[in-house]
Amino acid sequence: MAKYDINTTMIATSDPPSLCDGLALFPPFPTIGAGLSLGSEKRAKLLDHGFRYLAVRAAASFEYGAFFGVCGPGYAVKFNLEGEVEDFELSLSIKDDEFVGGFGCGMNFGVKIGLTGAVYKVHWLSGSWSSELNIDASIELDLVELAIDILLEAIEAESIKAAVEKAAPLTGAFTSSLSIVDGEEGEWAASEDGKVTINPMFDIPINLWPVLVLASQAGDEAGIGIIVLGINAVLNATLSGIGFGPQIGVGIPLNLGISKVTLDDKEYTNPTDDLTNGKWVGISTGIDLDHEPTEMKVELTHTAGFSFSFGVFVSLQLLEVFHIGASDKLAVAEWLDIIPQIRPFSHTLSNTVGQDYVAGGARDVFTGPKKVAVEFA
Amino acid sequence: MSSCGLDSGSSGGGSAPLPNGYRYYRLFTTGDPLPNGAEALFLPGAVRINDLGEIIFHAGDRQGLTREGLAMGVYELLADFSGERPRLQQFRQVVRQGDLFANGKEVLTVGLAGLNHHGTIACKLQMNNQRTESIYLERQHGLLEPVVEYLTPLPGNSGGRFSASLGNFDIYHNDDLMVSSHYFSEDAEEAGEGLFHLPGGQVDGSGRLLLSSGDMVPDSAHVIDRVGLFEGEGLTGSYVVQVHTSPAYQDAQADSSSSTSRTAVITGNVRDTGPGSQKLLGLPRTAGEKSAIVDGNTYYAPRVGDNGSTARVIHLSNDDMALLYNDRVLAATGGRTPRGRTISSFGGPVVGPDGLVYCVAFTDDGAAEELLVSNGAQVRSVLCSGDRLGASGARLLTIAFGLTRDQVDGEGRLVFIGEFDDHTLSVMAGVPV
Repeated sequence: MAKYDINTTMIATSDPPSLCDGLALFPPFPTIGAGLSLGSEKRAKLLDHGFRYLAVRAAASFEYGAFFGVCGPGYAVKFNLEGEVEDFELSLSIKDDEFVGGFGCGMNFGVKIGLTGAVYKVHWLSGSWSSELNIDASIELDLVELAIDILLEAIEAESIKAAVEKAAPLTGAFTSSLSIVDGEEGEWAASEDGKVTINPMFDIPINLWPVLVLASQAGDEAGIGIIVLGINAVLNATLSGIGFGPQIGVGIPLNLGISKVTLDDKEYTNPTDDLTNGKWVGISTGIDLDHEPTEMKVELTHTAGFSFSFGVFVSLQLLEVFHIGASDKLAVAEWLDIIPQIRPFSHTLSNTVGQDYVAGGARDVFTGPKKVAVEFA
Repeated sequence: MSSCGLDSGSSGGGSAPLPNGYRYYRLFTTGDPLPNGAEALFLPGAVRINDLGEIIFHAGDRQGLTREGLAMGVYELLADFSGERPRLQQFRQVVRQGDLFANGKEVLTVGLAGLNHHGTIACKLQMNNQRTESIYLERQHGLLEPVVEYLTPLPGNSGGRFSASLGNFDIYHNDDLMVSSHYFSEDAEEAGEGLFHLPGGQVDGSGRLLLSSGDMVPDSAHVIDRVGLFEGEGLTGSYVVQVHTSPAYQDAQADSSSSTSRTAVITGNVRDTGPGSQKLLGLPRTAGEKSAIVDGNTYYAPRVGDNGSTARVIHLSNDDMALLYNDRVLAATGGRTPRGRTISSFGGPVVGPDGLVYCVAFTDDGAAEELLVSNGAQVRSVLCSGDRLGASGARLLTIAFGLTRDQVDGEGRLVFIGEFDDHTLSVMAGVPV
């Protein structure tokens, strides 16, 4: 009839939990951290039309290029466990839990706009009479820098299930990045079923042109600003317009629970995953633990989905008479070779029993996919 | 004054009579002072008239500007047409770039504007403290007030909000407002671009989404990608809208870009929103597809008149175009105008309240222009480039007509921007004789 106390033991990917030091949702799992995936730059032509317009032959073209890097999708967690083990039963309370799930994302976006036509004689442009509207510009944009404030406005106004914040650059390839996460402190400890469930999600289209014009007027886009303001002067005076932008869609449903705790080499599993009186209770088989445990390993099992779409829309309009538009959508997850799988996956974190801190970030051993949930029954 | 007065086609029994001709007047000319004292330097081709004799137009000046370009403004002329010639009773500035509103916002950009027969003006504006554009309404000369902005809740209590990408708009009968905009659903789990009807210009429970990206184009295997230009009409509730589409069932090997994009025109009625209430007016077919409708992309704005008549210009190919009136071909490139010139291109059509359709035909490979009017049976040429108009005797070079809606009033008066060989642009009024 052996009984041992389990003093407060911190289980964490890092303290405080950081997504890029967290655990990946889908294979291939990196040894440490949620990992950084960089997609090769994609370029696509969305419009390329030549046509008769009023008295002239006009042409409109729009190309875009996108370059993505993501950290994750993954989750990062920090919580304390304390309780006791007696005979074949391990009883642990979850305390002080902090949890974030989502991904970090760097986005570079380039557009190449071509538009030739005629509104009619626009003599103020050059001092001489000209009927030509001639735009040919390539613009590279830091999408995060431009879009972040607009995304934040939407998220403040709606009960959107995501926190979006500007984050440090993922790598030198990006000047800034977005962090798209969800999660609350204490959510796990307060849950009845021992599961923490999050779903950072949003889908918001943004026309970048007026944003870019405003930024250029404020002098934030020095080199590009000159081009943008020049184009805008022509569009403004001819009541013509360019609209283009991204439609960023994110969905990361995630369900996570403790599936197994190992004290030294003794495994305790919870067949139902439920909490009993607010405690995680695991049962072992075979010979009871016969010594004070020194190491705790906690296996976390999750099921998750991941959708990350990057839509691009464009429209070119001349006064109220001519409009051409198109849209495209990239499945970024596939592009980055992130293949969501609905089956459960597990990660294991470990620490010395009674140690209420973690050093050196996550200590994770990927323990392989679970075939099916009923395996625990 | 001018009236080409040449006809083609048969006389139309039962059709609205064609005007015999017009007297043309230069109401405002570049070089004239604007209400703020600045000299008008440029008039883009945006001018409209309503049944109250109100004419709104855009003008650009450089007063106070340090940057490149022009400060654009919307201005309103009130014209009395009861006398022998139009008499200007009032000239006011509706809104100009740089205007400071009472709430401290400064107008950064003045976009397109609309006018209805009640004197309500709608205008797309961007303020200096906003990263996004908004639609403002000035009801019966009151203050300009925002109606649709980024994050305005969607109409019809449907949840969701207008997103940061506003498209076009039309203000018409009873201040009804039609708006295209990107939007996102409640909790932002879904997003798209839609065409909204806002009765009375209010975003409330009575408004609704008429169509959206992702919807199927009626009677086709295409899906709506983007919403383009449109026009609403108040008496019958009809509307007509241009949409950019892609095949609903795309070949996995096919390029998703412009090669498969086609532009369709859909008509519907805001009072009849049941299944099947929207009709396809036009969508180009591909090889092997059979269609009873006339073929071609519609890059130009389709228009609808008070009697529900529709007009549109389609591109049969990149260079070949046709002017359609209620799906009947009135004229096509390669054909001849009533004056016998070969048509090489068209401007945008305008449908007058009485159902007459007006359109500029470019002839002689763009060297000359004629303003045509038709009742569906006859086509008449009522103005030609090269004509001398006004007291100065300057020769007309360009007829900037059809670049916006609402250019003909209930009495058949028409307005346009004329460009002359003395390097001036004028707001022109044509009064039927």
